[in-house]
Amino acid sequence: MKNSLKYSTVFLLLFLTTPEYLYSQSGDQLFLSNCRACHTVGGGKLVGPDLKDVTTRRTEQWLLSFIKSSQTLINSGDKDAVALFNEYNKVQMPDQNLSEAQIKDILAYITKESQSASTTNVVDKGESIKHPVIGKSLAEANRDDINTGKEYFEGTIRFANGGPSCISCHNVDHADMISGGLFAIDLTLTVSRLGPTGVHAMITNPGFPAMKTSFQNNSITPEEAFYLTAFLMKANSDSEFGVVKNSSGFLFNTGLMGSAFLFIVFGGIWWDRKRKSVNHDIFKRQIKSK
Amino acid sequence: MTWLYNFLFIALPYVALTVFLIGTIYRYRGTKFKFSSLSSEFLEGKKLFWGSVPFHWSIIILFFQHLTAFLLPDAILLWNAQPLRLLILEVSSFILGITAFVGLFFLIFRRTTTSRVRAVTTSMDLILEGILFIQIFLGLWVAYGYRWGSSWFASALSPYLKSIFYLNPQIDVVAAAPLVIQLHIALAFVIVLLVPFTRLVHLLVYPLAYLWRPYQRVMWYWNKDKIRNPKTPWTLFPPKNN
Repeated sequence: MKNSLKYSTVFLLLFLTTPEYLYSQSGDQLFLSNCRACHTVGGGKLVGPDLKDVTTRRTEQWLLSFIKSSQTLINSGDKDAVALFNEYNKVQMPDQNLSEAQIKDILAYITKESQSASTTNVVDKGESIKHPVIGKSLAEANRDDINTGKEYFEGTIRFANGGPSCISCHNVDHADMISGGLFAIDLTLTVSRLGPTGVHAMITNPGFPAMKTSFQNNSITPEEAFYLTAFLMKANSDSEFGVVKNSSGFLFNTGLMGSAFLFIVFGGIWWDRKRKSVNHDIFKRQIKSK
Repeated sequence: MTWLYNFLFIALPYVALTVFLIGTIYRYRGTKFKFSSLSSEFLEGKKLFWGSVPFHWSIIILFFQHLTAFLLPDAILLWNAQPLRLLILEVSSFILGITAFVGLFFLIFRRTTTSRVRAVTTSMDLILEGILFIQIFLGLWVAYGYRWGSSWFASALSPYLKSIFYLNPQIDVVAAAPLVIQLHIALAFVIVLLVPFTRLVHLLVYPLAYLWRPYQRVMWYWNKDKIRNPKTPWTLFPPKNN
C-alpha cells in the first residue's frame, strides 16, 4: 500500500512535469498570442524587427535558441544576437515558455506568411496618425489628454473594461504621482526605446506574460491607449528635468516604526497576561479564601 | 528551465494540495487528539508572549490578505484605484510583515534557548520555523523590492493560482517573474505540503467556538493550599475544598 502510494506520487510528478499535454495551439494562434505585440510579418518594424523571411536569413537552430532565451544567447557573445539587441535599443525580448515543437510551428507560420506578405519598410510615423475616434494625432495631444493619460496610469480613472492601473506594475518618474510598481520595467524612457507606435502597440496588444494575463479579459480600449501613450511621451520628454521619486525608503521606515508601535500596543493590551501566569488568579483566590 | 518551472509551479502545487487533503484527513482520523499544536505555555510564558502574540496576529491578517487577493482580486484592485488607499494597504501589510518576522525570530530564539521548551521540541518544529522564517523574509523582500505587490498579485498572479484549481495551469507569468517571487510562491506550496506532518494542522482546528461560548467556571476538587503545605497531616485521601 505504502509502495503504491509512493509510485503513484512519482508518476503524478513526472506526468505533471511534462508540458506537451498542456498545449494544443496552432502556429498562427501561437504567433498571435506570443509574438504579435512586438513583431509583424511584412508590416515593418514594431518593438522588434519585421520577421518576414527570417527563416531564410537565420538558421533554425539559431532561431530556436534566440526565441527560447534571447538573453542567454546575447550573454554567450553571439555576434548576430548582440547586434540585434543593440539595434533595437537594448529592449530585452522576454524568454518564451514554449516547447521546441511549438516554436517550430510558429516558424512554419512565419515562413508561410512571408510568401504572401509584401515588403513595406514601415517607419514609425505613429505620432502623425490621427486617432479615428479622438480625431487628433499623438503629436497634437494637449495638456488635458496628457492629464487623462496620467489619471489612467495611476488609476484615479478606471479603465472601461476594469483592467488594473499601470502603476500596479510600472513606475514613471513624475512630480505629481506616487512611485509606481517595480514588478515590470520602468516606463519613464520607454518612448525613446520603443517609439510611440511601439508603445501604443504594446498597450493595445500586450506581449509580456504578466500584462497579457492582466488584460486578458479586460483589454485597454484604443482611446485609453491614445491617452496613455500621450502621457508616456510627455513623461519621456520631461525626464530630462530629473524628477526621481522612490517610495521604497518611505515603505521601509514606516514599516519599522509601525511594527515597533504594534509591539507596544500588544504589550499594552495583554500586559496582565504577560506579567502573570495563566493560573495566577486561581492560586490567589485560594489564598484569599483560606 | 521549462522542466524546473513545470515541476515547481505545476507538479509541486498538485502534489502539495493532494498530500494536504489526504494527509490532514488521515491524521485527523488516526490521531484526533494530537491534531493540534503542542502547547508550551506552562513551560515558559514571558518570552512566548512577545513572540506568539505579534506573530499570530500579523500572520493571520497577512494570510487573509493573500486569500482576498486570490479570491476577490477585483475588490483589491478597486481599493487600490486611489493611490492613497494603495499606500495604506501596502504600508500596513509591510508593518505586519515585519511584526510577524520579529515575532517569529523571538519564537525561534525561545525554542532553541529555553531548555524546558527544547525538551518538547521536535525536529519538524525547527524545520517548520526555519521555512516560515525564510518565507516571511522573502515576502518582505518581495514587498520592498517589487513594490505594490497587492495590485500585481491580484491582477497577474491570482489567475495563475486560479488556473491550478481549474486544472488548467497557466505558468507563463510565474515563469517570467523575478526569482524572489518564484521562491516565495514555491515555498508557499512546500508549506501547504508540510501541514499534515507538522504542528501547522492547528490552523485547521482553530477554536473559533471560544469566541461565543460562555465563560467556564473552574472549581478545584482538591484543596491545593493544604496539599502543598508541609504541615498538613497525612491522610488517606487528599484534603478537599468542600
